[in-house]
Amino acid sequence: MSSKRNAGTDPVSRRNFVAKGAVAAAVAAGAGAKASTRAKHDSNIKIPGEVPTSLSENPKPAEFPMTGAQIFAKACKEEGLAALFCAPGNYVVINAIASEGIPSYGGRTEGMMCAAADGFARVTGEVVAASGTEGPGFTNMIMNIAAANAARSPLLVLASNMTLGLEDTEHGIQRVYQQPTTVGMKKYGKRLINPERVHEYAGYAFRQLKSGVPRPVHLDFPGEVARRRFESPEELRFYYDKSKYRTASRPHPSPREIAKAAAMIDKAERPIIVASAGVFYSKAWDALKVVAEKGDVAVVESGPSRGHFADDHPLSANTGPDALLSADLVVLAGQYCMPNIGEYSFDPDATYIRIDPDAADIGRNLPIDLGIVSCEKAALEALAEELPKKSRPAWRDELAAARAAFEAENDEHYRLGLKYSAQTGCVHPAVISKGIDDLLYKGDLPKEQTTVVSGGYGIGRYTRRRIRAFRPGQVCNGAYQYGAIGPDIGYTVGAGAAVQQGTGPQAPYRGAPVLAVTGDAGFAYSGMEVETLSKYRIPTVLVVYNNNAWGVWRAGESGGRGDTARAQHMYLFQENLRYEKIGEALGARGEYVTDADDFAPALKRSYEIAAAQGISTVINCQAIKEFWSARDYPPGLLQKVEPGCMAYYH
Amino acid sequence: MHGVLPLKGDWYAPAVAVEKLLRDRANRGVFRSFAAARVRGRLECSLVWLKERPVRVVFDPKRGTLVFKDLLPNLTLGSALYRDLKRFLRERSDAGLPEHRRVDPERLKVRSTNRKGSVSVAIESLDGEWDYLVTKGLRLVNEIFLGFLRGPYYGYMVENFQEPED
Repeated sequence: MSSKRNAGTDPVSRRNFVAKGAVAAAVAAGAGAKASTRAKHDSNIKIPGEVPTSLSENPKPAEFPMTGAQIFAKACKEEGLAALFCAPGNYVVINAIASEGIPSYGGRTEGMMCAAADGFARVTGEVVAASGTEGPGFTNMIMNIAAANAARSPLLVLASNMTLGLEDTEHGIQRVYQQPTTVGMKKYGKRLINPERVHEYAGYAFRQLKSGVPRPVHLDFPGEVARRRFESPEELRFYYDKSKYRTASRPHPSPREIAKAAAMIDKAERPIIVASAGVFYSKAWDALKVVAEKGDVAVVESGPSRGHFADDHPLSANTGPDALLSADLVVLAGQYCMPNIGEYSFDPDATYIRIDPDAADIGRNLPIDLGIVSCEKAALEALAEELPKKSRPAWRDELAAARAAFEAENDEHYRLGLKYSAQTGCVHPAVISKGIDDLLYKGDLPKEQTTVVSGGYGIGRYTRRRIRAFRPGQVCNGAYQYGAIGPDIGYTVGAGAAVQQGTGPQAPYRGAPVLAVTGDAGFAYSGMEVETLSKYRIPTVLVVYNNNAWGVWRAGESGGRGDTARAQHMYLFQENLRYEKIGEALGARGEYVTDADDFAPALKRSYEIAAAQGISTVINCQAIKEFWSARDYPPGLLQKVEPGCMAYYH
Repeated sequence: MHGVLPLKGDWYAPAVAVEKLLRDRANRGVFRSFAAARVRGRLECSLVWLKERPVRVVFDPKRGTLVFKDLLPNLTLGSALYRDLKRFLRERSDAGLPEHRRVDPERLKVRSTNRKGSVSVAIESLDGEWDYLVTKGLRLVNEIFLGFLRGPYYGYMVENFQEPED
């Protein structure tokens, strides 16, 4: 394994895409660009002409007479549904949504398109839809509906559902009663029954998706509803504008509670704000910065996305985990997924303020000293007004020291990683982590530019330590809360589409490459979506950590798995599998890196090709499973401290 | 709510003070559960706190010692983890640490004991300031779990404290 086995050393000429730039522009879905329809490749992989052609067609909003699907799609357009990710099925609904001009993407499995939608939401904060066909397609989505629920994503799950008329008959195929399947993983769900109420139920859906704590909404469309033809508005119930069926009003904090919170913060010596999902979804990052700077309040992030408080801010504790234990007051802002006692690294005598729009959740898992029912943005804006200005130089110094200590620890991991890489002829995860850090944040690229899907299991515990966020939505936290490592490439499709479209906080970086990290285990679940990335020319650098095994393998180690008689084989893959060749076979480039020295050049080359030509690359980083052994290759599989850059449980 | 047990004799006064300090925290929700009893002149408490495994805390008012009994199971005397733990405990008194993170060696004496692989941590008050003893004692144990044990001891945490494996 000591030999260099790089593939794709001359990727540009080998790929030889024709009119690649034009294709990429056209595929900025819905961008309206006209383009050549062919992209030639010497392996004969090509994007069919119909893809750019159909993407460049003008929207065709429906007018009466309309089907139920078109009525619903029009409501989605009015509500600003940001994108749809689907695999075919639920045909009349997805066609109607695409025709309305909502950016729509079709991928290889319903499950991963559901993850794509979740990834899109995590980096934009916008409401997004996923769709699948009856029974099999819908049930394929389940893992990722559950993951979106755990992450509190505003995900609209759409699925067709045969017909009401033949319910329970097993007539034909694909019949299932959907709604009970999503119990416990949605905010609201409804099987649409009355066609004339289809617009009304769009209102039910968006009321839920655009208020309070977001979570998935699941609507299933029987054929009688989706295909019903309406000649005029008179045939519909409650058919009026969204301003009449929902409010944009948000709960605001009571002045008394804000005054009390300000007094508590003022009195504290080392206050810290945990800025979580609610800060992102309420777009409260500006107010957060004002509060932090006015009161010298530290900020640490948690949640399914990062960047609403920049890692390089002097008050950031994202990369200073040791400082967390010093905080004497903790303000949990929009922490929807609540940790339990002992999960966040705070002092036992710290006092807690919790800001959340849902009163029913305040006090769950962690005791509170003050609860504030409010939209996070409203509360932070009020706090910014009320909080007296204060300087806490000792606290700033402690934060700086903690960040320096963390970086020193990372550097020590890298030093060991180089040594282990040289010893084994493989690539240690610390080398990968450092290479990403150097390229994205310490070289010529603007550090705010690249959106990263931070996934994987063991590799994620190294890369999270060096993946940085400097602006909202810059990092999608892959395994957040539900712990699914499989959807990483699905998330990448969604995050990449958001950057390609320039949606929400991604607008300034429109068209830039995205970078994703996953493992060999994760690749198995979602690797086919490299085809979707390639089809839509979403420029991606996908780093696959290949250690020949499931991450939980640690035979012979305390707490390891696989050392019982006849058990080890269940934890192992064949060694030296060529995931980059799968990438090549699906229309991307491939790089196989077995030497630590080759990783940084491969990463840089892949990024440049993604940026210039819109071509994605799978970088297969060959490692060994033994790197997770703390005995043989200390520190082995890393633990983590939450909240902050390492967090993914809460 | 947790109420303080009735006072029985003057020499119990330190035990009452320590019990109150712990109960106040229990009432603030610092622990998931709390129970206390006085046994042969000592205060014995059981906490469910950072992990599901209950922690036994014994305060001996005569010696002014707060002991977290059998805090860490299955740690052999010669293990790297036990060696590192002892170093970690020593380092808590480093002059370079900020006051709120430091154990003042003039006021507290910290030691660990290992009986058949079961490690207890004892903190002795040298000045009879029970608030300082309890505050620093809890902080020390908190840092053992939320700081020290989040070092390269993943396997140990999985095996002994049901840390999630994924």
